[in-house]
Amino acid sequence: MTARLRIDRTRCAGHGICVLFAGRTIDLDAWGFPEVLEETIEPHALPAVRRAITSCPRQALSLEEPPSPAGRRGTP
Amino acid sequence: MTLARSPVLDPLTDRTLPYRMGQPGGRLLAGRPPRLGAEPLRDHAARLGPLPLGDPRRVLEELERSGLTGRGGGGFPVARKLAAARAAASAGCAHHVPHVVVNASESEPASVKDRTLCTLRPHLVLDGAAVAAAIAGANRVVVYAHRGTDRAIEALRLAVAERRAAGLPDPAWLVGVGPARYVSGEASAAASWLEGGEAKPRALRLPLAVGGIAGRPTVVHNVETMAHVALIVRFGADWWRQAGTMASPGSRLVTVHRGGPRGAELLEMVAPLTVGTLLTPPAPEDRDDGGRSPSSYEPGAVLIGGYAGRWAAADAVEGVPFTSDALAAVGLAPGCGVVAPLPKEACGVAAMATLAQWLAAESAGQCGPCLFGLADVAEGLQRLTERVSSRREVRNLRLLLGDIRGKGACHHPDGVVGMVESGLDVFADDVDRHARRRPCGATADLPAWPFPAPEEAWR
Ligand SMILES: Cc1cc2nc3c(=O)[nH]c(=O)nc-3n(C[C@H](O)[C@H](O)[C@H](O)COP(=O)(O)O)c2cc1C
Ligand code: SF4
Ligand code: SF4
Repeated sequence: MTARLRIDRTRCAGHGICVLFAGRTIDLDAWGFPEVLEETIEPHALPAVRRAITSCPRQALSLEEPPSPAGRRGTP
Repeated sequence: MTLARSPVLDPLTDRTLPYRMGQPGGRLLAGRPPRLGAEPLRDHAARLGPLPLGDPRRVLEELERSGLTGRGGGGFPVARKLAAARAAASAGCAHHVPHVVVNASESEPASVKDRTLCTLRPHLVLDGAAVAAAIAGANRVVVYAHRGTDRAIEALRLAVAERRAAGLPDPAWLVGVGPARYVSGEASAAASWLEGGEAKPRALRLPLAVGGIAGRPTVVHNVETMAHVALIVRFGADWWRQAGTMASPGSRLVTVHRGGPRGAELLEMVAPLTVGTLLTPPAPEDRDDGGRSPSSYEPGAVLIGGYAGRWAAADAVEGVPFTSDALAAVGLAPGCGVVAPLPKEACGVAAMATLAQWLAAESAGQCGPCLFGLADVAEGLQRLTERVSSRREVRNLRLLLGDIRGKGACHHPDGVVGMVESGLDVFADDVDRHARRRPCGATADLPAWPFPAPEEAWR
């Protein structure tokens, strides 16, 4: 089973707290906003990612567990 | 190739524009001459006959067969979106009545097709929307326009009143007028506005067609898309596909900018024309003004698809047909159908900087990489324009662009990244001269493209 880390960028304020918990999965970009390093989260990384999700002050992170037939964003 | 001559009133300024109304046999814009304004319901019905609202499943099949794709910029297959909404609606409970939204915002400043279509052929747009509503199972349609397109809004309101008076078997109509902001034309921004919120894009968990406004299936379609639907249900997919090409069927509205004080021209392209043909000015005797206005300049590069489209060298695209497949083969897309050439003698760096600055200011300011990243890109290009940059800064700029891509809740930043990345390649010589702080030798001004001041309000 693979999961994806979803960032709601309209919520994220670039606090960078997520990186403290899940530095293997998340990096910060040039403006201090999170960037997901690995498209799919391996099971061993899940606990750290879950901690990052619960620690995000803006609740901008979520796990998208498959299957998501609906596609990711935008269309249709 | 002959083009019909008919002056059109610019819906914004009421000036007569030398619009060429497409080739003879134009489809969306067929009928009474444009100077007469909106086609009344009576004439519309007499010309095209009643709207056949048969079995929605059959209509959906016909749309599928037509291969119609969205004309708002994304180019998504229409039948697939409507089928998704229909399926989501029937899977949900009775309270899940879907929403149909007709996107009349035309937030792209360089485009005039949507407002002109609404101004001249409002009933074609509403017919298509009625069909979309029947397929999705919606009993209400919202036409979502932007403030400032007064003539289009007035024509739509009048058309709605005419249809009510005539007692057509229509859905309930609502014409909503939202803020004149670029990103407010994005589909999820429209949905947000219709829910009573700000017209800013949203991060979607589900596609709008599955869970949009108040969680209900929501179909958002561009006005030109709707008008095509109105023709397909009447005359069939086979007829509709006679225009265009196999891979890019149907006619297409194109806004061509060709310099001169008159600004844009609107064409309905029935048979595919190359970018070079689109850019060729009509012979003086074919111009509505008798060739008095300065006709054109020689383009060095062409911006294709709108301000957030992509640049191409003029000699590289001259022979490329303006169809989605032919453009895709050279890394371009028709977008909302804008063709905007830059004179050979004008500075490509200044053009990119001007566009990027306007587009950056149009960010909804919600997503960090869009808000801060686009501002950095605009600033970097401004520095390059002023020759206070360096080749190192240009390399960094390219890296920044890569960092921004895909990092917005909507595709606004991606469009800007595409415009700048393509421009850095197409204008490589100008860029290099600027980075070395040398004069680039430009002698011509930038074309007078419209850059409307951003509206403060988001409601
Ligand atoms: C920044 C941005 C602005 C947009 N503005 C418009 C617009 O003004 N009008 C429009 O029809 N579509 C606009 N779109 C595209 C819509 O999101 C949507 O794809 C379209 O309305 C769907 O209609 P279609 O399938 O008929 O093309 C915009 C998209 C983006 C990313
Ligand atoms: S902790 Fe939350 S708000 Fe802060 S950077 Fe990470 S995702 Fe964004
Ligand atoms: S990417 Fe930019 S325009 Fe789109 S939602 Fe985010 S901030 Fe708004």
